[in-house]
Order: sequence, then C-alpha cells, then structure tokens
Amino acid sequence: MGNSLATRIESTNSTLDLNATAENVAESNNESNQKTIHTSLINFDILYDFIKILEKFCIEHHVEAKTEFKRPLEWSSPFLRPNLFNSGSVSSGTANNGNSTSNTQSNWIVSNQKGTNKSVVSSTALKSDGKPFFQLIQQSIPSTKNANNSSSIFLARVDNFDQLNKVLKLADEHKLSELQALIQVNRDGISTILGLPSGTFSNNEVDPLVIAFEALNKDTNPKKIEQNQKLYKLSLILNSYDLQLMKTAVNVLEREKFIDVQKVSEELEMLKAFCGKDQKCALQSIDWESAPPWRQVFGEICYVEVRPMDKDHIVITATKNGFFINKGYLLDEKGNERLNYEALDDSPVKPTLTDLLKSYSPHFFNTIDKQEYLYHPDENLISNIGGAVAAEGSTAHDVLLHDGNLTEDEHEQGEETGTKKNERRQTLIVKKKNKSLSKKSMTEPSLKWRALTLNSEEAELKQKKSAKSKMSADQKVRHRNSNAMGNSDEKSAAGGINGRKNSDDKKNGLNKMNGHNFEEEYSHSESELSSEEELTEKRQETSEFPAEYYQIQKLVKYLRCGNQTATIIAICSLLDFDLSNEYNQSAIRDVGGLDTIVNLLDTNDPKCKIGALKILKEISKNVQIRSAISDLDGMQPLVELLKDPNEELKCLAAETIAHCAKNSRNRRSVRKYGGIKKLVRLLKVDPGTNEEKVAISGALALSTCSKSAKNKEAIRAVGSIPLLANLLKSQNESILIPVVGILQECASDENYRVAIRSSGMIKFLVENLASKNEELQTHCASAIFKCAEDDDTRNLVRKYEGLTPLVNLLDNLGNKELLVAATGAVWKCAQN
Amino acid sequence: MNRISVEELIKTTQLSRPEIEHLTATFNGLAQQQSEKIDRPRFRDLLADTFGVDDSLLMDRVFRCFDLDSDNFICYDEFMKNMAIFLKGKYEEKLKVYDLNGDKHISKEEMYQMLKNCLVKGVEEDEDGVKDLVELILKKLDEDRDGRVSEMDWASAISKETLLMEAFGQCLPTSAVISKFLYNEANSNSRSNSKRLRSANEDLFLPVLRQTTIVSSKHVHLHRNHATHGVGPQVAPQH
Repeated sequence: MGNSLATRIESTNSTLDLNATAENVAESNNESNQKTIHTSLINFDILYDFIKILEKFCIEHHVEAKTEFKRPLEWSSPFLRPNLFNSGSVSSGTANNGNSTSNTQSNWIVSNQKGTNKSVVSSTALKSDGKPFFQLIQQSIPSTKNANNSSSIFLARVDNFDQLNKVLKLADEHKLSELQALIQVNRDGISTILGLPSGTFSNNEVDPLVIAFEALNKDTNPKKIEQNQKLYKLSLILNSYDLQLMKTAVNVLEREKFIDVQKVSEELEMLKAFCGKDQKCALQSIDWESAPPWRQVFGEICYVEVRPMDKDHIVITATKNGFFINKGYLLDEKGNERLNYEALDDSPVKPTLTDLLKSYSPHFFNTIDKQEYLYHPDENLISNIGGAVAAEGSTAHDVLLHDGNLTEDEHEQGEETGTKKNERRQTLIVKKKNKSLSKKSMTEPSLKWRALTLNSEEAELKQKKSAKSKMSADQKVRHRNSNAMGNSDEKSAAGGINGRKNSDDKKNGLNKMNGHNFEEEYSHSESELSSEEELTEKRQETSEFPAEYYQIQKLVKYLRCGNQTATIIAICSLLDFDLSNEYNQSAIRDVGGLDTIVNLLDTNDPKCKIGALKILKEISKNVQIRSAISDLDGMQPLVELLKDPNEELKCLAAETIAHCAKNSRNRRSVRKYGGIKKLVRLLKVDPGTNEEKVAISGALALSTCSKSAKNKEAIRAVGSIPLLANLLKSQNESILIPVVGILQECASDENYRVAIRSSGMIKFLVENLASKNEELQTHCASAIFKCAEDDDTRNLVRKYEGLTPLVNLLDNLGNKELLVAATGAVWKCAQN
Repeated sequence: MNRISVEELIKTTQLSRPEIEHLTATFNGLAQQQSEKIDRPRFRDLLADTFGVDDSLLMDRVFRCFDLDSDNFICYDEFMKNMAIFLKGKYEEKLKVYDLNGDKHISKEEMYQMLKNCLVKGVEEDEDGVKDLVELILKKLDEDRDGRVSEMDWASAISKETLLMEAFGQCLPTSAVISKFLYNEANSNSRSNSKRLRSANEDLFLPVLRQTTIVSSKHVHLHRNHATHGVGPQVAPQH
C-alpha cells in the first residue's frame, strides 16, 4: 500500500536527475565530485514542481506514500535541526541522559545523548524491522573544534514518502534547498528506493521499469512478494509523475529559446531575492526600467541596473536576442541623466542575465550557486495587486502548511500547471511583492508597440477583444437606431423623415412582418468574422523547428538584403515550399518575412511585386497571417496595385484581397483606401473575352468584401449592379460563382433586392439553379431566398419556373448549406 | 553600307512596320554620322536610360550579344535583328545574354560571376550567401541535374515560372518599358497600341517557339564565324 508513495518519489527523482543532467550540459560543471544543481529558473521550477507533486502524492495516494523503501534515502541536511522538531511539542528530555520524550502530536522523538552531545531525532512511525521511518542524526566532524554545533553534520535518513513530505514541511521556506541537497546526493533515487543497483534509472539503454519488475520478482518469499508488488506499483505511479514533471520541464526549456518580457522579469525577480548587503548575497541591488517605445523597435525590452558586490554598477540592456552591458547613464549637456544605449565595447552578449553577471562579477560567479531557493507557499492573491492582502495571505498560508494537512484548495492549486506557475514564482521568491508587481505592469509596452515589435500574442488578443467590444457596441447602436425608426414609423406617417430613412423603415416593417430580422442576420455574418479572429493565435508553440524553418529564415534574409535579382531568386525558392502548410506560413511571419513581402509591394519592379503577391496570396489563407497583414496595413499597397496596367498584377492583387478580406479590419481598410471602386472597375469586361480572368479575381475579392454592411453599400454606390448583371450572362462557372456570391451576400439589403429584381437578374439566378456546380446552386438558392422577400420577386421566380429546380434541390441531402438555402427559398416562395 | 530592307525585317522578325520605323529612327539618333554604327558608350547609355539596366557586367553582355561580328560597334542590321529579340523574342533566345563563354550552357562559375554583386554589402558571409544563391537557382533551373543550365533546362523552367527569367540579373526589358519604348515615343495614341502589343504577344506565344530556336542557333553560328575569321579585314574598309 505504501508503494505508490514510494513510486511517486522515485519518479520525481528520476526526472530531476534528467533535468539536472541537461542543465549540467549547458552550464559549467562544478569540479567537485558531487554534481550540484545550479541556480536557474528551470531548476527552481523543477524543484518547485517536485514539492507540489510530493504533496499531491501524499494526499492522493496516502496508502502508497507509506510504502517502505528497500534502501533509505540519506543526505546531509543543511537546514534540519533538532529544535525544529520540538516546535509545538512537549520539550524533549535533554536533561535525562539517553532518555527521550515522545511527542504524540508531532510524531517526532527528539533525544539528546548527553555524553556525546549528539542529538537524534526519529519518527514515531516504525518500519517493519522496528526502526523509525525517519532519523536525523548529528555527527560531529572530528577535525573541527568540538562542542560547537555548527561544525557538526546532521545526517538525515528517510524510508517513505510520507515521512519525507512531513520532514520537508518542517524545513518551511528552506524546503527547496533541502530537497536540492537530497537530490544532489541521491541522483538515482528510484534505484535506491527499489533496492536496485545504483544507476539503473539513469541508464537509458534498458527500460528501468522492466529491470525493476524482474528484480522485484526474483524473491520467492511470499511475504516479500507482497511487499515487492507494492513497490512495483509505487514505481509505476512514480513513472507517471515522472512524465508529468518532464513535460512541464520541457515546456519551460522551450521558452528559453527567445527572450521576452515575461522571461526577463521572472529572472529579475529571482535575482532580486538574492540581493542584500550581506557578503553571502550575490548582488547588492538590482533594478530595472522598461525600454521606451523607440528602443523597443530594436528589440530591446528593458534596462537593468545592477550593483554587484565587488565591481562598479552597470546597466544591462535586455534584448530579444540576449543581454549585454551598455554604456550606462551619462550626463548630457543639460545635466540630465541619459541612458547611452550602445553596447560597451568589450561586453559579451549572453543568453541569460545570470550568465552575463557571472562573466562580469567574480563575486556573483562564486556566490550565485550557493544561493538557496526560498520556498513561499503560493497564494491566490497574485492577481490582486493590493499588497496588504498579499501579506495577510502568506501568513495564513504558513499556518496551513504547519498544520500538516493540505486543504482542498491548495490541493487544486497543485494540479494547476503552466500559467499560474509563473505568477506563483513571482510571489514565491520576492518579498517586496507590491513593488515587483507594479513594476511588472510597467514593463508591458503599449499595445501598439508590442504588436509591432514584440509580436506579443497577448497584445494582439487584447486588441482584438477591444475591437470586438467596439463592434458589438456598434451593433447595439444600430439596433437602437432601427428601433427608434420603427417607433417613429408607428407614431407618424413619417413626414419629416427623408427618403433614405424611409426605405429603412419600410424594411424594418417588412422584416417584422415576416418574423425575420435582417438586422440580426448582418450581425450574424459579422460576428462570424470576429469569431474568426478570436480563434487566432491558437498556434501551438512548437517544441522544435522543422528544417524548413531555417531555410525560410535564410531565404527571407536574402529577400531583405539582396538586390532585385537575389529577391527574385528568394521568392522563387520560397514558392517551392508548401505555402499552404501552417508551419511554413507562421515561419515566414516569425522571421519577419511578412513585413518584407508587404514592403516589396511598394517597389517599382513588377517582377518582385508579382512574386511577392504570389506568396502573399497563398499565405493569406491563414487566419493569423491575415490579421498580421492588417497590422502591417497591407491593404494599402494591394489596393494601389489594382490600378496597375499589368493584368497579372491586378489579378494577383485582387485574389490576395479576396483572401485578406475575410478579416474585418482588412475589409474596412479596403473600403477606406477606395479599393471597392477599383475592384468594381475590374468587373468592367465583356463575358467570354480574355479579360474575364481579371473580372473573376475582382468578383472573388468583392464577394469576400461584401460580408460587411458598409461595404455592401459602397459596392452598390459605385454602380456595380449593371456590371454584375452583365457578368451573369457568362457561361463560365468560375466567374458565376463569385458574382452570385456577391449577390446573395448583398441581397440582405433592400436596395439590392430592388436592383436585382429590376435589372432582371432573377431570371439568371433561376437558370443557374440547374447548374451542375453545387456551390453555384447554393449561392443561387440563397440569393433567391433573400430576394423573395417581396411579392414581385416571388412572382418572377414562379414565372421563370424556378420552383421545380428549387424543390429538386431538396433531394440533395449531402450538402447541408445547399439544403438550407433551398429550403429557405422554397419557404419564402410558398408565402405567395 | 546597304541596310536590310524593311520587308526583309518584317518577314524574319516579329517587328511591325511602325515599330521598325521607330527603331530605325532610334538607331539613326544614336549612330555616328560617318560609320552609321553605334559605339559601346552610346549603347550603354541607351540601356541605362531606357531599359534601366544598371549592372555594368550585364550591359557589356547585352552589347556583346548585339555585336555579332565583334567589331565593338553595332551596325544597323545587328541593331534591328537583336532589338527584335531583345524586345519581342522568346526567353530561349535571351539565354545568350547570360552565357558568358558562349558554350550554350550556363555553368556555376558563370552564375557566381553574375550574382556576386547581388547581395548588399555588410551581410556576413557574403561569399557563402552568393554560393547559396547559386545553389538555389541551380536547383530551380537545372532540370537534367548535370550541374549547368542548358537551353532546354532554361526553356522548360521558365515556361513554368516566368519570374526566373531575371534570375541572373536584370537586363531584359519589362513589358511596360517595351511598350513605352516602342509606342510612347513613336506614336501619340499609345493606349490602343499597347493593347495591340499585348494581344500580339499572346498570339505569338506558342507558334513562335520553334522558329525562334532556329534563329537563335543561326545567330550563334554567325557569331562564331566572325570570331574565328578575325575582325580586322571587315572593319577596315568601313573607315
């Protein structure tokens, strides 16, 4: 039964080992025989997770947690002292030689051997062989001056996870350091627990679980078999925890690749905890200020002012690519302090702040790895910036911890991973909570800058949210307006209202009569688009970059710093990639290729423009790319290209707009830059001629643009109706589909319905119902559905014998959209 | 010196009569009075000003392609025939511009030569970058994988991706520049003409293919003959 607990500890141990090894590869190894665990965020995270898992394990598998280890885990404890075990208990028998007083409440027995002046702590819980599960033995070092407690070592020995958990709790805020000491000595903890030869679990060649299974099955003694089964169960559970721990560790490692605001602030918070006047501290002080927007353009995040113990104070620039020492604060001619942003000539660029400080300050180098992680219990208040609450919370929590019983609440927190942990860490390490939190919020650059330079996903999201709320506000206003108009209609004969409003009123009345609110339909189509934007940035953070990423990065480099020829070559090579692949699309964006490509649209070279458009057309099928294009204001050059004499350019530009305009912001920009007029001009061709290609692209672009109400109005205002009617005569399906697409989108507008009827388009719509192409059929049926609002149209549909094909379409069970459109059309026509 | 007749030109090239007239006027404007030939600096001016070629190496290449008898001057016949290719010829014919040593293939070395200036200075590992570009082009153009680009490779690759035409440097005129050169200066009603040109180009697209390859090989023959026979005797009488 105690097995599961043991397994859990084992699993955590092995992960820690793995990670510690990974760390050691990256960082310099200490020359001592013991491998030490370096001071770093990752290690802190791992240790922290370890503790969490240990607590969780002891709660969830309290039976298994009591499983006895085959061999005990032993370590020399840096913080556990006998007096810790006294707290809250009846005082131990210091006076009686060899005597001991047991403390039923605290589960510990503290005894003091007077003669040797040695303290021994043992647990009240006893193993099967009668020895205690936990023992803390004081051993004096012979060489040092005796009778001095500080010169003696406290050797701890633990035999199950339950005890380990309790002991670690006593260490309170030194928990992590205690655990660190334990793991440093027991690098292969699971093997020890299972009684296997050491190194089994760090040897990757054979699955350790198999070895464990074989080893545990060797015993034939029935008593031992039972015990072994427990142990094996424990090892299985530990294994699963192990994987869990590994996963979170990998997540953290992954983030190491690029530096962002969050990472810098986290590292700073960690270092802040190591500041002080004392010689043991690594630094005197560390402080920071965020980079001004015009520096953020260069990828700089913040400036960190550091006062090391042994050298002059320096100012460090944190950039996206690393940390370097800059020239610091200088007095300008007016006597103001100005930061000189340039890098100091001999300053190296290091991937982490710790590395840079190590290379700068020998004292820091010597002390940093001796710093201990302080364990502070996590709180719910992180989100509250109010400081007083935070202070109270932490004490309350301490009490909880001492209690030894974890509340449910805490238990839940233990299960939470990822995002919360970061917040946790902030409160964990730092004592000056308020200060740090307010600092943190200061470092967040303004939304605009972030979107531009840091490409922060959060910022985009926030922007989107605000955009969305604005939009919904718009809708509300519109609703209110329409209601007001409806009211005025009821009250008076609409004498003072001009013609435009009048027609609106009529529409409202009509809609109400039919029980079908078209206003709602608009908002439906618009909320669709905003929901599209909401799904943005679901992009999973890929743990590794495929080979293509680096090739794309190289090509974008040539694109940027070559002349036309190199640009053409790079574009052609980029076109060879599978641009419909999401990874490649985001790779192009991430390496800054999108800006370059959009900029290329402004150049004079038609070949470059064509190439750039070809890429853009493909990648703009991606939702995120579309929104990135709108961030770059990419619609402006695209709209400009629509009037280029080169037909290929025109087509490509229109097709790109067709993709981009699925994004609402892009739609707005197209209208703002006068793109609607230019697009409609593309439709001005005779059906059946070579120039039809241009018209197809134009119609495609318009059909996506027509998703928003203002664009519908704009499309009509520039006189598109006769052109559309003209194009409907074509026999070419590829042009009919977008044209009818525009019509069915716009038919929700009363003006359009009138225009469609009066320009005789109903006839063509009915004829095309018999088309072979389902998409065309769907568009036609949906257009008829929306147009059949009034009697005249319904009569026309009947006159052109449109009812039979409509009813025939109802047989088409496979295509739901088609079915919806056809049913709607039949329903409307049936009202006649 | 007898010039080739307008009828002959209409027959052998794709130039129309007004185009020929315009080109003749251009030639007369550029040519020296006595010799009726265009010298190298003048021709380079024409390329730079009208066609926007800015690479010295490529300007020389174009000049050498025009100068069939290698006498460092371009005479009327050479000018007209080559302008026809330059302005209206198909891409197969234009490969010659990039073929530095005249072996009908573009080798890696030739590519390197042509691309070495195309990365902006200051980029680290400039040389590697150029080599990389050469590899990239070769991957795109060398369809038979023999490490060099032949006429066949060139033709089939470009028919798939016309952008590659300029992959070795920009020296060929764009359609906008061509129509401006041929029509804007010659005629006032440029718009209708440019439309005609466009449709003419499309019509010519396929049928011309076979014919042009023959023409281009003829050119190469001429070029070689003159080169082997030496330049001197032919130039001397003119002066």
